[in-house]
Amino acid sequence: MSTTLISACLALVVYLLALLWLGAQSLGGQTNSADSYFLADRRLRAGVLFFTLIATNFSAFFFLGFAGAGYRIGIAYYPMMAFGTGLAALSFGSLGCRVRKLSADHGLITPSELIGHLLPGEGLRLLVLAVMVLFTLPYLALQPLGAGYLLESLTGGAVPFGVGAILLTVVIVLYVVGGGMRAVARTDVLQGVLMFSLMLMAFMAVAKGVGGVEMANRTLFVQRPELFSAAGLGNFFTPRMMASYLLLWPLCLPMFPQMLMRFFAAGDDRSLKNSMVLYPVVAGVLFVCPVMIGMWGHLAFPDLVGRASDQIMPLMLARYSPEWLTGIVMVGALAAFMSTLDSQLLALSSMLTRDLYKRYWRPQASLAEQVRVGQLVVIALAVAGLAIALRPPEAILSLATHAFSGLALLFPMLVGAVYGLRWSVVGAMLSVIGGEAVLLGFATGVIPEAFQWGCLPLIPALVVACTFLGVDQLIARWPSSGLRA
Amino acid sequence: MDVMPSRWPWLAVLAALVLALVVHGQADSALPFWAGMPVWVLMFIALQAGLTLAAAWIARR
Repeated sequence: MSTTLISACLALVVYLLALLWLGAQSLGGQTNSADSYFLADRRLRAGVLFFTLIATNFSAFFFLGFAGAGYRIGIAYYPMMAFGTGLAALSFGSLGCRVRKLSADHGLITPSELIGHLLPGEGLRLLVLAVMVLFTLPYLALQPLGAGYLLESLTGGAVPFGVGAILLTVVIVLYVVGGGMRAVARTDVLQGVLMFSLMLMAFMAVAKGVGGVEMANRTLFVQRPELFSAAGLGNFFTPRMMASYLLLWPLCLPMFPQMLMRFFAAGDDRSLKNSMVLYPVVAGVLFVCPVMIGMWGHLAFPDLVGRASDQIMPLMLARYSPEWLTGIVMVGALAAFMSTLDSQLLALSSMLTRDLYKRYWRPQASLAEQVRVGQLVVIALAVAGLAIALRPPEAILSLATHAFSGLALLFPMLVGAVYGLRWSVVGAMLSVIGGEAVLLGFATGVIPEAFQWGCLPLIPALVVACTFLGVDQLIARWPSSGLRA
Repeated sequence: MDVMPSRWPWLAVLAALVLALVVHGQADSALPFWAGMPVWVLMFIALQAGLTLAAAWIARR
């Protein structure tokens, strides 16, 4: 048995036991109310809130995907992600504070309840619910898929993909069902610390192995200068594409239900604002690590093609870092997978319980009953996610690739409503449906690519969504406006 | 006493965003290295620091 395998197995066992212990610690102190289970009694403050925002947002893509993108695109990937994430974090201290106050004042728990409170109409509530579930569920299913494969490669095949996916999902279900948001937030702190520290350790080890940052970059610049260009390999980041991505992150990040619900769970505005300030710093420091490791991959593994480049992080660690570190760092990637999955499970569970079960089936359901149903929904969602992960349909994978843009299209309508714009029901629904239809048109090829104007499909879809809202406001302010209900 | 217009920090954010796009657009003229990194990437890191300061400004309000 290799040192890498032994260290990986030991780190994995310790990590999983720590998660279960943290979950068990969260069993006490719950009041068996929906607020307590889904939002940790709205008491997430300071460090815990910051780490849960980070761990929820940074999926395993941060560990493996960033390095792969660094290999395929080059250094240009780093400023796009870091600056875009920094911009997105500004919503924590602005939108987040407003949402927190609204939800606390009116006892709101889910995004659909928020929009239902701000604007009339059952249809709009259901539409927001449908969009969030539709685009989050496939993304949720990708987590056990990735975690299973990672565990299989981490243990050298000793734990097959299916067994690994099931094992990790079972651990998550145990602590989410047992402790709800309190357990998720506590485990997020551990997972966030693991992600930070292990990524920095990986970077230092690989940088040392390639002869230092300066020497490696200069050598690479001589061999592949395009890796250091602003457009990147294959001219990926044209100015329009860069602008599209810098717009995408601020619009989509606060629309992830698992992120939006952290605004609901925040204990005070100060904690949200502190997170807003720290977030760009963390993104700026951490994101450069996997991207540069991926770029340096060209020095040792110059022939990786396509998705094979997503394996560049473990390959570089195996080549340049001590054997014991390789296994431990991959546990950090596993932590990133799990911290995103547990938050998605809880967010979707609360939405299905409150917005469907309670609202349409059992309006008289007590708070305790809602918690029990929420726990059952967590289990059902986990099983559904596993089923999809074990045999992923093509449509699900395709949907997952459009999840970010699909959720971002909720932003103009929802944020406008939070800031006091009173859309009509028709205008608000047309904005979302119109935008999503344009996105679907581009995805299926019905709308020619030329209409993207060299940007992401999100941009024309956003233009359509905002046009509907603009027309809606014009009609509302028309002097003789008897046009609108 | 609150004397700063609330839009100022947001204008700083907008300025940082515009500068980021300008730096990206002009990056080919900033390819020389300094401390092992292309200068245009270092400019982005400086803008990231500026964004953090703008966030701190917004947070003070």
